[in-house]
Amino acid sequence: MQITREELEQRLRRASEVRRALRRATNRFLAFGEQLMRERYPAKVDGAEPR
Amino acid sequence: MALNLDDPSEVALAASAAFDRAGLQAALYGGLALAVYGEPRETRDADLAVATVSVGEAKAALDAAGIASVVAFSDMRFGGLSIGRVTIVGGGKLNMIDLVTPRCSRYAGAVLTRSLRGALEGQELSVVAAEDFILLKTLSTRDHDLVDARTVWHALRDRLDRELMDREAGLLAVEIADHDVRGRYSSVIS
Repeated sequence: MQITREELEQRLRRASEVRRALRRATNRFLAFGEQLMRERYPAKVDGAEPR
Repeated sequence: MALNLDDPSEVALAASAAFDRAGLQAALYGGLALAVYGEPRETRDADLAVATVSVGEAKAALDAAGIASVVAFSDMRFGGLSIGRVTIVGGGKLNMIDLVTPRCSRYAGAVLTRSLRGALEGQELSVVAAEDFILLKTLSTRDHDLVDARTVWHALRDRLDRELMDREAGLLAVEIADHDVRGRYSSVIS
C-alpha cells in the first residue's frame, strides 16, 4: 500500500500528538502520586513506620 | 471543552467525575495507577477497579455527563476478575475504560475501602492501594500483569503491608478456588 507524502506527514503528526498526550498524562499522575504516596507509604528513611 | 481522548488522564478524570456525580464508586487501576506509585508506564486507556458498577450504569453516568460511549462487552471472566469495557468515542477518536471487578464481593468492597483518595486539578480521584494493585494483578491472567505487580512490589516492598497482602492472598485462594492465586502471588513476591 502506498501513501502520499501528505498522508505520511499527517500520520507522523498524529503519532507525535498521541505521544505528547501520553507523556503529559504520565507526568500528571506521577506528580499526583507524590503527595498521596508520602501520606500512605512514608519512607522508612524518614524514620516513619509503614502504615 | 471537548475531551482529549488521546490523553488517558483527561479520560480518567472525566470518568471519575461522572461516576462521582452518579454515586458510583470506582478507583483508578492499571497504567495510570503505576504512575501514582512512582513507576511510570505509558498507557492510553483508563482502567478503574469497581465493586458493583455495571457497564450499563457506567455508560449511563458517562451519558449524563455528556460523554458519548458504547458498551464493548460486559462481565467477561478473566481468571479471578470480571471485566466490562466502555468505549468512549468522539472527534474520530476513541478510548477505553475497563471496569475491573474481583470475583469475590468481599474483596471487591475491601479494595474500594482501602483506596487512596486525593485531588488532581480540583477533581477528587481514588486510586487502588499498592497492596491491592498487586493482588488484583495476581487475580488477572496475563503475564504482563505479573510484570506490573513485580514492578510495584520491588519499588515499595519495604513500605507495603505484607501481613495484609498474605492474609488477602490466602483468603482469595479459597474464595476464588478455580484461579491459581497462590502460584501467581508467590511468583510476584518471591
